[in-house]
Amino acid sequence: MYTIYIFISLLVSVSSSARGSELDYDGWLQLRLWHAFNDESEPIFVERGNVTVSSVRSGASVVGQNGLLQPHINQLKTLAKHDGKYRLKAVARTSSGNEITFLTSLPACNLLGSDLEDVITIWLDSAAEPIVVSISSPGPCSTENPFTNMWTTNVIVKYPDGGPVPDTATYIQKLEREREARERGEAKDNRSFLARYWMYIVPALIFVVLSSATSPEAGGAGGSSQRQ
Amino acid sequence: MTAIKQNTKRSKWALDFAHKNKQEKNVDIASPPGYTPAVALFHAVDSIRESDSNHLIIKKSWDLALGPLKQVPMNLFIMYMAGNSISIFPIMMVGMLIIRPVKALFTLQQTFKVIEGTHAFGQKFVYFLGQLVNIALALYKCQSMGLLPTHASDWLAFVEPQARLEYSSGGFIYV
Amino acid sequence: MAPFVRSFRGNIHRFLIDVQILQYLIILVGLFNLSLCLYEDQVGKFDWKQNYVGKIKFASFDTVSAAKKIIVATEENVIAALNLKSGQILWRRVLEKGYAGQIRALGGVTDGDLVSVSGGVPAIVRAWDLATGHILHEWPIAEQNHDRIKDVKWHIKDGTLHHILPIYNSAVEVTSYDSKTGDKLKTRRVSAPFITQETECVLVAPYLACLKGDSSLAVLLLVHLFDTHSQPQSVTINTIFGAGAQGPYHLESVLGEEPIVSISADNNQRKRILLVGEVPVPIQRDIVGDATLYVVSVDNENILLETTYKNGVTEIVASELLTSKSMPNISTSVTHNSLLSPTIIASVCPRQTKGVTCRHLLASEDHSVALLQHNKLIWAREEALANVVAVEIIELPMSDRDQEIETEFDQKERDVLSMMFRRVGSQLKQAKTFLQSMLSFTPQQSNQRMDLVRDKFGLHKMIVLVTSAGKLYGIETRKGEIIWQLRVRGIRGFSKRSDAIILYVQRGSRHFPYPPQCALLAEDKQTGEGIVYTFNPITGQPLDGLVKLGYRIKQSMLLHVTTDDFLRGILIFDIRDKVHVYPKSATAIAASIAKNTYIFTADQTTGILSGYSLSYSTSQELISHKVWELLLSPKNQKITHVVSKNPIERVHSQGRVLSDRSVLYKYINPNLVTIVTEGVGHTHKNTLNLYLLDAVSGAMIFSIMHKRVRGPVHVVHSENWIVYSYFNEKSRRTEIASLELYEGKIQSNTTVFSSLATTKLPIVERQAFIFPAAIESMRETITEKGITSKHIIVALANGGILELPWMMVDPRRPINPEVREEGVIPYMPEIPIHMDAIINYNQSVFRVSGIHTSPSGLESTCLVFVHGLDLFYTRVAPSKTFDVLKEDFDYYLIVIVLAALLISSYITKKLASQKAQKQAWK
Repeated sequence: MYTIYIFISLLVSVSSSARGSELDYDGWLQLRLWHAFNDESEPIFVERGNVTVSSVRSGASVVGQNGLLQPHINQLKTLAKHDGKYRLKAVARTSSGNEITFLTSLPACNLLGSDLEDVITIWLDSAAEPIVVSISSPGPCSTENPFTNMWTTNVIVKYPDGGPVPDTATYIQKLEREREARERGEAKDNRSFLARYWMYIVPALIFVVLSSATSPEAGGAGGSSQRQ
Repeated sequence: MTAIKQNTKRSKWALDFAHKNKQEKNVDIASPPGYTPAVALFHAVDSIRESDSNHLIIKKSWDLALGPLKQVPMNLFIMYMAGNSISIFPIMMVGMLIIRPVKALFTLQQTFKVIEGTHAFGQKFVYFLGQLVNIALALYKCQSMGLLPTHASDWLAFVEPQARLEYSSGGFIYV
Repeated sequence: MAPFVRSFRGNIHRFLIDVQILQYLIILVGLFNLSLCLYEDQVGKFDWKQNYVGKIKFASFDTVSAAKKIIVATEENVIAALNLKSGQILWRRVLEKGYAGQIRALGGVTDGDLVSVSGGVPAIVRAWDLATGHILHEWPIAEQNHDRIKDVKWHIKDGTLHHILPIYNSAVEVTSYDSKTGDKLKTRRVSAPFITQETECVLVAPYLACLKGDSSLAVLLLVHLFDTHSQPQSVTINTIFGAGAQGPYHLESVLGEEPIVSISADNNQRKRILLVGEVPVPIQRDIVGDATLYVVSVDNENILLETTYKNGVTEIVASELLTSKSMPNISTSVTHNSLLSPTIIASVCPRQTKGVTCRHLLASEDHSVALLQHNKLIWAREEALANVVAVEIIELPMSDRDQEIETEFDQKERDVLSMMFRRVGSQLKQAKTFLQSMLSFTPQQSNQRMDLVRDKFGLHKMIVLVTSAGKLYGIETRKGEIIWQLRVRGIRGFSKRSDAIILYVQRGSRHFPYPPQCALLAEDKQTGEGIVYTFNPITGQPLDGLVKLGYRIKQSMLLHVTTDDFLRGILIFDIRDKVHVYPKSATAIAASIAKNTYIFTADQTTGILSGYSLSYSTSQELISHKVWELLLSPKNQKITHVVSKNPIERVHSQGRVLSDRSVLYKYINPNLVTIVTEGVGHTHKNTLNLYLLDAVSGAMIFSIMHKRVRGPVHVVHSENWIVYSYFNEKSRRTEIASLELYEGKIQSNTTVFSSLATTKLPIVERQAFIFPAAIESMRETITEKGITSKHIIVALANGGILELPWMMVDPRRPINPEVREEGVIPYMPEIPIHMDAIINYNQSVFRVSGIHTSPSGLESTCLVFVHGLDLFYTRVAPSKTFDVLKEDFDYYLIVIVLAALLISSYITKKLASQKAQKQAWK
């Protein structure tokens, strides 16, 4: 048990340092999900399941939900045919005891196209309170029967990045480095003319030599042809 | 190029009027010391008699056919010297490198008229190949100078903006 | 000696380094800002500026100084001197913004020194030089009772400032200060036990008049403020009105030099005045309730001026105060366009050789100020323009001749004969007008001004301004002349959106037979229900007039499609989430696109953001349903900004070329909205959150948080980037952060963008910079096709307007520039402010409340209009004017050179052929 705890906390610290996390608190989060498939402007919500995020920092979550019944799948198909939206209501309960209701939706056909695979993204603010619960599905758009009636739900927990700050330290370092480099460059630069510019002189010399070598040859060739 | 032209002229000339012309020419100019036209004439006539005129034609044609390939080392050297920076002289050099073989390819028919003999097909092919090699070299040079539009960025100006499917608007509530 | 040499060498060395840095700077300047500067002879050529002072609060004629002028103090916290003859501003001093600069009292002009009291806690007393407007003295008043600051009355007399505070159920505390030095002179307490929280008191120096009692038995109590021994005098309402007056009564002090109060009765039907003194004298004469009063002294005689306004006629009736004898030579009656229910706020009647001539400074309901002399309006100032709430820049229509050509070709029937007839007819007409102009007949009356036509480059436009006073203006851009003005009475801005009025351009001026149309969305003053007001933005003529909607407006949206007559409808979202279309005829076209139309609302008080889809609409009715809802921590965060992209913006380049010649594709989501919340974080430090939200799917794209940071926040959202400024409390400086969004090296969908299909989150580049100035407002430039690079127009607190290339705040500026990308400058933490990038050079503009940018007909040029206390207009060319020849382009030279070349080539051709011929003969 203890080792597992250590492992998790290690994971958390690693992930937080990697993301530059601004989340100072950890806590749990529970979402109760309702969904609506009816093709009308007023949604009729039925229960879908719930999601428990045991630690908002690590994003570890447990999803518990039942499969869709055939009438629901049929409703979903009609909704998809009419280009309608599948609506999801999420009631979030946090460790601080708040209860917040969110509404989100996505085109029903995307849900069918991906065989009931969806991604629930929970965005937290800096105080680890949920601010957005949104559902998305990779698609593609389809109105066919899904292969399965079971949900494949991924839960992603996201929180804000830390804002950028003007990077004065690196800049000053860079200036220092440049200055040093310049000083060094000045010290080193008293080499001889040849030593400094040999890479330009040598090719030029080669070129001169080669061109002078080729020209008599060409003349000779001309002469030989004349002889023939 | 000029060398080739001279060659072709000379071969034409040798084919039709070699005998007579040489005589005429030699009449005008004083002979070098120790040189008797009779001997030369004898020699020339002798050589014509000795070697088949066809053989000469083939040899000349091979010269012509191998010309482009012979330029390759020189071109390579020029390319190396030109460097990869984009400024007026390297650009002019690369331009010449490209234009010359392309021009030669356009005047292929005229050049091929000259080539005769049993090896004619092979010679034509070799000549053609040589020009292609030159073009490839020039293109390689362009590529290494970054002049060829082979990257996605070169076509960026032609990428159309994405059409908007959904329209949205809104903001703070007014009341 | 040696150390000296060493230090000298060190100095030289440092100098050399500095020189190097300077060189870099010079190169930078040369790279980016050369195009921005202006030559001296171009001053005022492309730009104009207008100065305003705002709605007048206090005014006073300065008759003491040699140069006669009017001193005004305004609601915009400005103290200024106006020229008596022309109304121009002689000097103007802008005090602190908002509450801290609120002017509470102005006085002492008659004594030759101007003293003002402004601000809250502590109030600041300033003495000003009347001639130049320089501050002579300044000192703060330490306020004891912070919460009673609004009850404090101030009285400035003879170089003494009296701070008068009624203390409930006990007395009136009068503290006197020397107005120059700030020395406390004395503190008196005058007993006034009758004053309670409900008592209505006005200051009529040297008395404080208070009305006490209910509507039936009201008593007026007068307290002498400077006499501690005196007892309060009481005057019953009956002695003023006689019997039969009905409450509620309302007490007001009458402006002017004498201590007089006016009491209105019978529900403001009539009023009477009372001369306050040792013995109060009531004047037994009824004055109409809606008249405004002023008392002026002429030859030591007090004269009461009653101003009334009816049907456009302003009438000022003068009568002797005590005898009520009317004085017709002072009474006047004026009809003028710029007067609207005016009140006299200052008046002076000096005796001159010809007799008494009165000058009245009139402040109208629409914030305009006018000077009336005798019965002539000398000048008027449109002070409403100091408070602009909405701006649109509209193209001018074509000239009459172009329009005729347009009609000629814009006919539906394509019959050869009729077309020929029309052609001949129009040409005959043209010939006729030509002949008329040749023979100098009177030209035909045109329905538009001759110079108000579209120019070749679309640089001449019309600015439509909506002011908080409910007055609209049309200003042309060339000289800044007001072409038309329009008052819409009985409307007010949306209270929750800080008096915003929404202005939409429903139809531009490109659809010739149809007039251009603008619509105004506001609230009815009485009911708070929505109104729509349509008008022609070029002529200022109302089109449909004021339409009362009968419901309260929650949100609105301009449709992107037009009806058959090129009119864009307005979607109005009411408080009950019902959707309406204005005009009704656009319902069908709105329903046809309803499937892909979304509208979102943000509630500042609850923090709820909701998105609605209109997909269940029928062609008769639009139906909305909620598709997403979220909550942005309402407890400690407040939504302060919701910034969408400019709907007319177009992005030309879809990606960015990297150093390895691959492309990083931009994430251009037209439905992306930036939301900023400010508040106190959980560690009791100010935090700022910025969220990027897709308004269609309700999905969060990105969020970022700044700690120990507070406002003022200014956000610019354009293309694929967001630039925002804030104040960093930790480092105590203004910073600019910039975000840039990229899709990646491949585009997921190259043809269309759908918010619902995109699930991949973009790559966000970010960087922050130090900005060495305080920012008042920011806006990005916009051009027609989006080819020109973007600059950010930044209004600085010091009055400058900076044109900042976006390149300078590019988040991809590399810290270690090993491989340089094209057009990317190495990172520097501080953004330098170059004086040549200040587009308003020395024409400082203050209190900038907004910047409006608009594309011109030229791709290179963007029109910039800055409003605030001042109006400033100019044009900028972010990528230099690549599509126009320079002004000093030498046309003659090029013509001569071309002609010479042509001729010489012709001659040489001739000569060459001759020579060839000769040679051929040889």
